[in-house]
Amino acid sequence: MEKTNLLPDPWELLGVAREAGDEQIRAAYLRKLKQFPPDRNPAEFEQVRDAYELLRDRRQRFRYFLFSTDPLAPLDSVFGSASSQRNFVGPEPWLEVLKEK
Amino acid sequence: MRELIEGKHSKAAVETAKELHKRHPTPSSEALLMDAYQARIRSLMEHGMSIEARSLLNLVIQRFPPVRTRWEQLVLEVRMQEGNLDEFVAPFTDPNLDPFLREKIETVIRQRVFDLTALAQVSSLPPGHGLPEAAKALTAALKAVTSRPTDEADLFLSEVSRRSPLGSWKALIHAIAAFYRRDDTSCRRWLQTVRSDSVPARLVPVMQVMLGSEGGVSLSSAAAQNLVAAIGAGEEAFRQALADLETALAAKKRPPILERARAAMSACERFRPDLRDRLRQYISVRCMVVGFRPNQVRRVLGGTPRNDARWYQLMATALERSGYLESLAHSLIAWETFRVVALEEKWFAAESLEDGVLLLHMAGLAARVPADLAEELLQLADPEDSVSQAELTPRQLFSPDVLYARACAADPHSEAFQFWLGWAKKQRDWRAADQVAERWRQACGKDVAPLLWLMESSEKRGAYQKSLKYLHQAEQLDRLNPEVRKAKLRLLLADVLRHFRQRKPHLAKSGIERIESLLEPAGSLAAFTNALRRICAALEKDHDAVRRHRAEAEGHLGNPVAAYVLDRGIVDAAVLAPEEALLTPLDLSSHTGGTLVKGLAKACLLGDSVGIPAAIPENWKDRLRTCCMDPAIALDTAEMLVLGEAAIRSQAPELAFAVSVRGLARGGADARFLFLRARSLPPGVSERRADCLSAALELAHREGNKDLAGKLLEELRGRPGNMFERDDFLAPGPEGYSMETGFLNQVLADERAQKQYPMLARHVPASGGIAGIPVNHPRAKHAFYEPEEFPEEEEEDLADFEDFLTNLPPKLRRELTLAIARGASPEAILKGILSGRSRELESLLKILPPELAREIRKAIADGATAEQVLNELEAAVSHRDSGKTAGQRQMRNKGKSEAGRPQQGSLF
Repeated sequence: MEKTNLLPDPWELLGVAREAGDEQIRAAYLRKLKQFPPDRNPAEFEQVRDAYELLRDRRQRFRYFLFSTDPLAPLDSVFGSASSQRNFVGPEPWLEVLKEK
Repeated sequence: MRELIEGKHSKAAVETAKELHKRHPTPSSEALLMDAYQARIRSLMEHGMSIEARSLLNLVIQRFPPVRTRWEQLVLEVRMQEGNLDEFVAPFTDPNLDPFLREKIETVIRQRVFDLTALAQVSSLPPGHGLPEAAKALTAALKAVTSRPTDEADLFLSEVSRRSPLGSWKALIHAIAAFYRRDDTSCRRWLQTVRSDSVPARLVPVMQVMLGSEGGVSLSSAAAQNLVAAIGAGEEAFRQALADLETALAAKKRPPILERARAAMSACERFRPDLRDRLRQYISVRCMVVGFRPNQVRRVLGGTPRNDARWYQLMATALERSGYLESLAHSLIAWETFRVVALEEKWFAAESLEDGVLLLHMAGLAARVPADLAEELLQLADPEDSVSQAELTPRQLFSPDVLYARACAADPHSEAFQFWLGWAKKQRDWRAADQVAERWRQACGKDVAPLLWLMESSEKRGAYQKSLKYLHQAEQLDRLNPEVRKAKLRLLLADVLRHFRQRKPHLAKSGIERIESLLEPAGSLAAFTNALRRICAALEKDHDAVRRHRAEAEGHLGNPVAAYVLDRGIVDAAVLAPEEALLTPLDLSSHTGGTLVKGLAKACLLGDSVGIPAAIPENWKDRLRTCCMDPAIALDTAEMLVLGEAAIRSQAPELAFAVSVRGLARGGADARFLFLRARSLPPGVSERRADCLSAALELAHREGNKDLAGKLLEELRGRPGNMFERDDFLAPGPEGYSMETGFLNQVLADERAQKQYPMLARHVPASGGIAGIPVNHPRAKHAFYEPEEFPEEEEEDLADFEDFLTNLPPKLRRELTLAIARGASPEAILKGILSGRSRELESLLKILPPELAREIRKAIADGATAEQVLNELEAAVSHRDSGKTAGQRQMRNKGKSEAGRPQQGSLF
């Protein structure tokens, strides 16, 4: 079962808030089109176009919202799309642990 | 005394030891007192009371001078504690330093010094001394590895020897560098080299947690928790715990699942408590899918999942995707609960567009739930029970009509009405569909689709004038719409055929003229109007005109066979006797195979385009099958597909199979030929058929062929248009209809390799395969009948079982199929029924699966007598004696009732 193909979040991809309306989404789409013209960035253009298709109107948006949830997606999808990182934090937090006996 | 010391009660230990030594002074009592003092001094140091520790140390040394030499390390430790590193390391300036004392100092440095910067800056050691130089290099290295990516080569640290008291720092720095490089293996190896009594060892358990090592210690210290949180590495350990749970879930082994679910929740609590509720919901749904009951999981999750809208959304989706009919019904209930909770949580408003979208989806689900199953569920609840106005009653919930109506009221748009009308068309009462179409018209006045349906519906009821009125309205809306033009042609043609049936050729002529003005025919379309005029002429007994029109049609089509098939199609559609239409059978021997096949394909293509699907004459089928297998006869994909469809329509499975053999061998349209193959397969190979359909669906999805995918889904969901009309229960397993590439390729390869039409189960080849699939083949594992369970001598009974199943009343058949799906043995059921003739019904019920027995009891409760039930079962079983399969019987029956009149699709 899904047999999950985790697609990039279309809201994130277009850089709009979840509450954004038709006009905002269209404006964001046009901005992204300028950023990724199809002749220069075909792959990115396709992603942007697909994302816009999913969010184009209120009905489409709600459909996507309602049915894109995959209960059988890998459990680490609870983290969202961000991958795990190991942040460089400088020596201080490390030394704080060393001070403790 | 020892217990007091070990129990960290050093103050009490000193008091007690002093009292003891005062009363009975012996060397032992003095030694005990010294131990107590030593414990007390260390305790003071641990609590940061270095001045008090120093004072007590001085006092003890003053009173008991001999301890000075024994307590050298303690003296050094106290000096270290005071922070006076200069004084502490000053002895290193003495070239004759006692090795023993040197070792003591180095031990204290290893175990106590955590401030490398201070050590690097000591002034008591000469410039260039190894110790501060090493501390300086390590300080710089630590800063580097914790601030940016570093290479192993940059961390040579030649200033720090392996025997240095700071050696473990070097190992720690290498470990940190490897950690950031995500070289976890190296990191673990470096951590193993850190001395356990050194200061750097304090970081080892923390780093093990960050590496996601199993059994890592809990991070009780605030500094450790801060470090893990700042780095974000706890998330990684958490991800590892989730991955472990994922593996256990995939293996479906219950104890590891619970154990790892607990570990995952524990990691979540430690590192991402903000995700606790969400994760609990996901894990509980996943556990539900692998068969856990909620209360079994609740304990390991540390509580009940939050029952919010998101939770019901997850639950409903999981149930829906499981593919079982019962789960489908439960998913409908879950979606309704989601709707109610989402309304409460103000995700959307009642009767809003969003509400409409959801209700439309629910209507689609309700339409797929069998009526008897819905009734069963309704019996468990009060059918009219609802809590709020927005909430649906259980009866409303299982009524597709109510759900579609609400969906279309909340969000009236063409697609929603199209779904509703699609459902209504399948109902027995034509008024349901007409009412939907009327509401569609009112809501979306510019749509032509409801008018076209109303036109078709009126026409079917013989209300020709009414249907013309609707056509006129549709033309006013969109005259150029291809659907409108097609509908007009269909209507005009129906009118012509009606006049043919009424033997009124003069009226048919005016209809033909209107068709000509609509089509402006040329080429093959001109052949079609020629064919219509030929029938007119035949009815008027105008033999010259008959010959002329026939010749013109042949000229347009370039193939006499095509002209004959077209004539025959029209004659069949008009329900005329061939003699009446002056249509004599074609002499097959006078035409080559190529002319025959190509002509038929051409006529079928033309017939499909004008709404008169051609049928294949019975006596042509064998010849056509041979021709289809002849590589010398060139056929393109379109020709093969149209021939295949004609074969399916004409109840010619072996011909359809032959076409699929050729099509699959050619490649390029695998989805469509697998679809054809699936429909051509005989009863008894349900699993192979399902494989072909699933593979075709997967290919159709990949090709983006939505039309074909829709047809395949219909077929898979048990509304087959195939000639055998079996498999009315073929719900997918939990994995749904999707197919992995490997299995897809396997199915394709297997089907390409199959050149012979499969025999039924009783004719399984000696190799022991099922429908041509060897028993040890991966696909055989999915087979409906496991050959291992049914030895050869039972094959006859299995074929009988197929017959028996097909001839049962639908409700009983469904229950029986469900019972088998749940693990009941078909063999046992069949034996039970066969041997149950002489038994009383109650004895029979004991050996039947509970679901089937329950259905029989229900039938008895509804008024059926035991005798009737036994007779019905006996009659069903006795059909086997005819030696024909159900499919063959159905074909034969159809052939009788509809002799000379092929199926006309939706035209009449």
